[in-house]
Amino acid sequence: MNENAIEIHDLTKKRGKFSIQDLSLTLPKGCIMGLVGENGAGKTTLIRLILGALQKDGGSIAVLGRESGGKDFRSVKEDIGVVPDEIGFPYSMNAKLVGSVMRRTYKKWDEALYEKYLADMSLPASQPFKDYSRGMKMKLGIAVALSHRPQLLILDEATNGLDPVARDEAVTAFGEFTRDEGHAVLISSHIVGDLEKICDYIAFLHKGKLLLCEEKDALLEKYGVLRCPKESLAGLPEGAVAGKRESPYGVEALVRRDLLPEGMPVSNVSLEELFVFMVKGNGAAETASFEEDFFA
Amino acid sequence: MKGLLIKDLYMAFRHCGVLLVIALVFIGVSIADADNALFAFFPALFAGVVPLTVMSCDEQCKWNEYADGLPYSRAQMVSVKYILGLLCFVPLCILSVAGFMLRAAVLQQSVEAAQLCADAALLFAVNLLFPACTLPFFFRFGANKGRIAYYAVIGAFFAFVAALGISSFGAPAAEPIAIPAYAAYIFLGCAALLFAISWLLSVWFYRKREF
Repeated sequence: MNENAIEIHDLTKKRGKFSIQDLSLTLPKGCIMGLVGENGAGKTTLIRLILGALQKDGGSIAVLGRESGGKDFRSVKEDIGVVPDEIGFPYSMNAKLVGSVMRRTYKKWDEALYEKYLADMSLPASQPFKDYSRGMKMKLGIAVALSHRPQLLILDEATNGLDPVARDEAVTAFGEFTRDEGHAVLISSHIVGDLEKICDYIAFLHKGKLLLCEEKDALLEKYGVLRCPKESLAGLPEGAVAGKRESPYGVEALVRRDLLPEGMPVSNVSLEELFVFMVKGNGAAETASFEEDFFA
Repeated sequence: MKGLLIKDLYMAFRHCGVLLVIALVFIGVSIADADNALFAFFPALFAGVVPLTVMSCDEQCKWNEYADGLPYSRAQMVSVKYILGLLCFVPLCILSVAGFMLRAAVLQQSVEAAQLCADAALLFAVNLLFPACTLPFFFRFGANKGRIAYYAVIGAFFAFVAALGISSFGAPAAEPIAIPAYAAYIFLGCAALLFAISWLLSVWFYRKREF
């Protein structure tokens, strides 16, 4: 039995000026992987490649042990729940009609479970989808994604637009989903705090390249933040500084704890800080180019 | 594919249900205007618009991207629109023919069965041609650019009708170019073939399309 929900090797895909380059990552079953990246980093492109909705230029993608986009991939999708960044139900349909469409779409559709989700999430079954708030639309997307009892959940910015309480409920639901060791979740989000709560693995994507993909706890253990005068950084061993932010008052640097001399005052780093340091703190050219893209 | 079909039928009824009312109005007009039976056949011509309207709605709400996550193939997503077209135009064609016969009964006109069958075949052919000519463009370029093909087909149809001088169906017009019955059936066969080719072409286009 395959122990990985997703296995990607040397994936390449070019779309106009943007490209995903030699991306490899593995999501083991029973785990939650957070995909972090700024707008345009390639998160949605990667997710659509995983779903076989885009044709890859090179490399391989296996989902639940089958080649993505292959002939029998339709049956694999029976075991995947997807919540895209925009839930594409027709505006005039309501949750009840959505349920009747999905009942005829998924072989394992559980109508009672769907109705339970609608009730738990306080979603009015007869209200047209166009009258739902963004948060309600997302909740309906999540309810649909979970009601056919999938093995793999793929969520593209699924918690965006939810109020803090609903976000917490959704995040808890995803955590509960992976209690079953055969289940896995791939979730992309700008809200790194949510990912920090629930993820086992973190993948940082920047301009189509995977900056890193590691276990979250190991990552947070490996890196720390060092605040010191600018000249103190020069004396550190090569490779110890992964990123830095300079200010008139000194330097904040993302450092690898294992490469630092003993006794240096290193504070813990959050995932958000880690990501910002990696993207913005890797040299002036990189920073300038990122800011150009980000604020374009 | 049942789920897709249920969704499309709902959308068709929701957004194109008014066509049924317009169809009845046109049949009424054909009865009122004793000189022109063409109005009775107009309702069937609306059917070709239905899959295009549903596709426009799909694009607007980003259903296409969403459906890529569902256990459907791109070929099924295309096929459902062609099936929807068939499901809409068969009843509308029957309604048109029934409307024409009602008109004939009300106006006490004689109906030539052979001519009526040939006209119905012509009507079916036109209805097959309409989606056959437009849907591949919609699947290749999307609803916005695909509309150009839609207007081109409408324009070509009316130019064709004007060129033939067809002013009435089922009964001799003032001076129309007579279309022999066998030609209508050959035309229907060609339209069916084109419909099948169009179906395959759309599948091919849509498999390659990236959102």
